[in-house]
Amino acid sequence: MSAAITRAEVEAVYPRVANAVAQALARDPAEVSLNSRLFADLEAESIDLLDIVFRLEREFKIQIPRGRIIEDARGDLSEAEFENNGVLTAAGLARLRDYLSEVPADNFRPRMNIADVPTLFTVETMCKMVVRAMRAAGA
Amino acid sequence: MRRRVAITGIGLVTPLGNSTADSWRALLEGRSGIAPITSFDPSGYPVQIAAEVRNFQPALDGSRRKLLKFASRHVQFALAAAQQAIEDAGVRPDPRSASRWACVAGSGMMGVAFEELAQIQRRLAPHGDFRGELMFKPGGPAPDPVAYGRNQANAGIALLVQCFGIKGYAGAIHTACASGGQAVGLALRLIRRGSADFALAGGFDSMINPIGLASFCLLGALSTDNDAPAQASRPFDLTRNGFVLGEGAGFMVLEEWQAARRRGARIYAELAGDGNSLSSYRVTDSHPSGDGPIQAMRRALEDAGADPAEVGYINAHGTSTIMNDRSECAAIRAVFGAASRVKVSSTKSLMGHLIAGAGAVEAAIGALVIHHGRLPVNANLNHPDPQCDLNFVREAEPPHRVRVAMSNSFGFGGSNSCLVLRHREDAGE
Amino acid sequence: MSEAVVITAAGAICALGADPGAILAALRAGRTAFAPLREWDSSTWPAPLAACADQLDAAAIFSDRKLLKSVQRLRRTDLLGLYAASRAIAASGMIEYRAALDGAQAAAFNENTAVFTGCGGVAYHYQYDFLPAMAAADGDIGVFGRQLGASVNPTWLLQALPNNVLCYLGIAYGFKGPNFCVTNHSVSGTTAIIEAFHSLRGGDAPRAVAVGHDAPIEPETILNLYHLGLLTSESVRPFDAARSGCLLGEGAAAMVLETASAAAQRGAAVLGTILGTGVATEAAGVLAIRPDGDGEARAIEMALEEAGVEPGAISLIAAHGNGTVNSDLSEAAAIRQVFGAVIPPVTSFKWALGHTMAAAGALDAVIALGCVRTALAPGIATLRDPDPRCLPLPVSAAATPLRGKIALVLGRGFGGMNTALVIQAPAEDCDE
Repeated sequence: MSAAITRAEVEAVYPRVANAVAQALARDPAEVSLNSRLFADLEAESIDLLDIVFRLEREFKIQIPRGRIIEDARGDLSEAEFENNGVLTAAGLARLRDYLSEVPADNFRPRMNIADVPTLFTVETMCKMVVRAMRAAGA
Repeated sequence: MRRRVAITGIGLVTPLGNSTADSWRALLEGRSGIAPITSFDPSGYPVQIAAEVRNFQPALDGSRRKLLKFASRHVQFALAAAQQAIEDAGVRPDPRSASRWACVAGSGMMGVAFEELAQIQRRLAPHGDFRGELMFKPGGPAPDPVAYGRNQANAGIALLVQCFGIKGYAGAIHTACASGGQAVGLALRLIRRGSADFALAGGFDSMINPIGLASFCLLGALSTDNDAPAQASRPFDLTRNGFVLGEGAGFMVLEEWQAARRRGARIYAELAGDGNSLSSYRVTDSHPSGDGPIQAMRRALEDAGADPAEVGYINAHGTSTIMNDRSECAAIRAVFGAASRVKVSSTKSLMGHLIAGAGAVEAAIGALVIHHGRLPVNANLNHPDPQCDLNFVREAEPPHRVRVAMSNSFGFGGSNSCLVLRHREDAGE
Repeated sequence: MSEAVVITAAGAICALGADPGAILAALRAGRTAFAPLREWDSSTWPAPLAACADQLDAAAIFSDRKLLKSVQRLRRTDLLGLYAASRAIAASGMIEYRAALDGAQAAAFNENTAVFTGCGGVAYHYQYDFLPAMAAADGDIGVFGRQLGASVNPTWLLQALPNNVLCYLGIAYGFKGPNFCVTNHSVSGTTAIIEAFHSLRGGDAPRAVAVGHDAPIEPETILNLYHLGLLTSESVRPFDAARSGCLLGEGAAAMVLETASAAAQRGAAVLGTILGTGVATEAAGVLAIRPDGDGEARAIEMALEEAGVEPGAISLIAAHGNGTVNSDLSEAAAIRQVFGAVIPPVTSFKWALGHTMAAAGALDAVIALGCVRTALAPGIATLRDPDPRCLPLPVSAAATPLRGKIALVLGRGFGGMNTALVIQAPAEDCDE
C-alpha cells in the first residue's frame, strides 16, 4: 500500500486539473471547486469523463489506464470479494469508500453497480488520480 | 387504400456466412462468428477479436468486375448481398422498370484505407503534424481518382445503382447503428407513397480495420475478452462487458404487394411498419427508462396496425453493453407490458455488431424468422441480468408460426429505428 | 388529398453571410466570397481559393450552457448545421409556442417534431488525428495500437459521427420525432428537405426541421478535385463559354416545415410552400455524369408532376450550375429537355458562395425562396459569354425581375444523383 496522498500533493496539481475539467465541460474555472461532483454538479456524462482523463494525460504527460480507479480500490480483494456480477459487495463498497475518501460517505449506496461508480467522482478524485499516476511514473 | 410492401428477396454477407442460407444455418445452430482478428495485426490493441467476414469472394461478373476497384471492403459486401437479394427475388431492374426502382442503404462511415492514410503520413506528416504546404510539391501525394471515388460517403449507393441499373430514388443514410433500420424504413415509405414500386434496401459496414477498431477501443465500448471470443458478446447477461465489432451487409428486395402477388413472387413477409424516433438525451448514453426506443416501437406497431400481443419475436438491438441492454429491456417492458412473454434474442451474440449494416441484416433475419417459423438463439446468456427480465430465446425451439416480428436498432447520437414484419398470410389483402 | 407543406422559417450561413437576407443581398451586389485558405498553408497550391463562412459564431448556437462543452468537440460542418438550424428554429417562434403549452401538450409537440439532416459524412482530415500515432509507430501497427491513447481524443468517433446535428438538435430542443441523416454527396441537404416534406405530407409528423450542412474545404478534397479538373484557379463562371471549374465553399441551410394546419394553429407566418419533389439517379458511376442530363430531367419531371404544375408555371430555375464543363452542359440539356424552347430565367449561386457540397441544395432552396418572394433573381455576376452549347438557357449577369412565385431548385451529386424541388412564395408577400 503506497503512502497516503497529502493535501499538498493534491493542491499542487489542482489548478491544472480544475482547468482541464472546466475546459472539458465548458465551465468557467470559477465554477469548479475541489469538491465539485463531475456528474451531479458539473453535468458531465460518460463521454465527458473520457475527455477529462485524456486532457489530464496530456496536461501531465501521464498514463491513466481505463478502469484504474476500480482496480486500485479493489486492491488485494479478489473480484468475487469485491463485486458480484457488476454489483459491489459490502466489502467492495467499504474498499471504495476508503479509496474515494474525498467523496461524502452518504453518497455511497449499498449494492451499487460498478457502472455507476463514476457518478461519485469529484474534482479531487481526478487530482488524486493524477498524483498516483505521477508517482507511478516516478515523477 | 395504402400500398403494402412485400419482402421478396434477401441477401446476406455476414460473419456467419457469405449467403443467406449459410448465415441462417449458423444462427439456428448457435455458431459464433467471433474470433481473433485476422485482417491486420491487432496485437497492440486492447481488443483483438471481432466477427469478420471470412473467405469472401466479390460477386460481380463480366464487365461489372472493373467496378470493384471503386469498392472498399464494406461496399464489396454490399454489392454481393444486393446481388444475392436480386437473384433471390427473381426480379431485376430493366430499362422499362429502372426508374421505378429505388435504392436505399444504411451506409458505413467513410474510412480511408489505412494504407492510404499511411501514404499521407509519410508524405505530408513525416513527424506527425500535417503539413498542407507540401501537398502540391514534388514528393506530395499522387492523385488517385479511383481512391477518391472509393472514399466518397456515397460510393456504396453510387455503385449499387450503377451495378444493378437502378434509376429512381437513391438514398444513403447514416445514423450510426440505426442506419440500416432507418434505410429499410425509408424504402418502405418510398413504395407506400408511390415514389417507387421496387426497392433494393439494406445496409453495409466494416469497421474492422486499424482506424475503426481504434475508434471503438478509444471509447472503451468493446468487450476485451480476447481469450474467449465466442463468448465475448453476451447481450443481457450480467457478466457482459461491451460489444464485439462485426462487418457485413444485408439487402432486401421490396416490392409493392399486389405486383409481387401478380408475378407469383415468393414473399418472405410483409414489411409492415416503420417506427423512428430521436432519444434527445445524450450522445452515447441511453435513457434508463427506455425513452426514445419506446416511441420507435410504438410508432412501428401503430404504423403496421399491429397489436403488441401479435408479436411473436423481437430481434433486439442487444449490443451487450450494460446501458443499452437495460434501457432496451425497460423499453420492451413499457411497450409490451410486464406480463408479456414475447420471445427476444439478440443475434449480435453470434455475429457481433454490424454498425450501419446491423439494422438491415437484423430486419432480414426477422423476415427469415417469419418465413421459416424458427427463432435464432441469444447465445452466451448464462447469467441473466435481473434488470433484463425478458423471455429470451436461450435454446433452439421447435418450429412454430410467428405472425409478427420486430427488429430494433438504436444508434449513437440517439436515432432509434424499429421495423415490424408480418406473416404473408396475415397481411390481409 | 394531402395537406400543403409550408415553410415557416429558414436559416442559412455561408461565406456570403450568416442569414438568408444577407446572403441574397450579397448575391445581388455581385459579391463573391473566395479567398486563399488560411487554415492550411495554401500558398503553393494551384487552386488555393475557397469560400469560408467566417461569420460563424459558434458561441451563439446553444442557449443552454450545458451544451457549450459540445461546441468545442464538434466538427465545423456540425457547427454550421447547428447554427443554421438554431437560427431557423428561433425565427419560427415554435419554441415560444411550445413554452405556452401545458406539460402533456409540450411533450406531444416534441414527439411530433421530425428532424432530417444531410451532410457530407466523414472528411479526410478527421483521420489526421491519427497521424502523430502513425508517425511514432513508423509502420508498426502494433506500436500504433499502443500509441493511440496518448494522442487521439477518446471521443474521436463521436466527433466524426455524420448524425451529430440530429443528435444535438434533439438534445438542445427536445425534438423526438421521425428522423435520419442523409450522406449522399451534394444531394444530401435537398434530400433532407424532401424527406421532411414527405414525412409531413404522409401524416407522420405535423412539423419538421430540415438541415443541410457541409464543410468540404480540406486539402485532400482540393487535391483530388483539382486533379479531376473540377476546380478552377480563377473564378467560377457557371454556363460561361470560358468556365473552368468550381471552387469549394462551406455552409448550411435549414428550414422549418409545417403542415398548413399546424402553421395556422399557432399563427405562424408562411414564407412559402413546397409543392413537389423529385429524386432520380443516372446509374452512371461514382464520378461519372451522363451528357444528356437524363437523371436531372427525370427528377424535374417528377417534381413538376408531384407539384401538379406545368413547366410554364415555373418562374425561376435555381440551377446546380457549378461551373464545371460537363455538369453545366448536361444540366442545360436536362432543362432544355423538359422546358423546350420556353425556359424561365435560370440562375445559380455557386459563382459567389462556392460549392458547399452536401449543403448546396438546401442553401439554394433557401436563397431561391428569397428570390421568388421578392420577385427578383440575382444574376450570375461572373458570366461574360454564355456557352453557346448551353443556349437558349436564359442566363444573365444582371439581376432578373421574376414574373411569378414558383421556383424550381436543382441539385446534383456524385454517383449520378439528382434532385428537384418546386417551391412557391405566398401570393401577397414581398417584404424584403
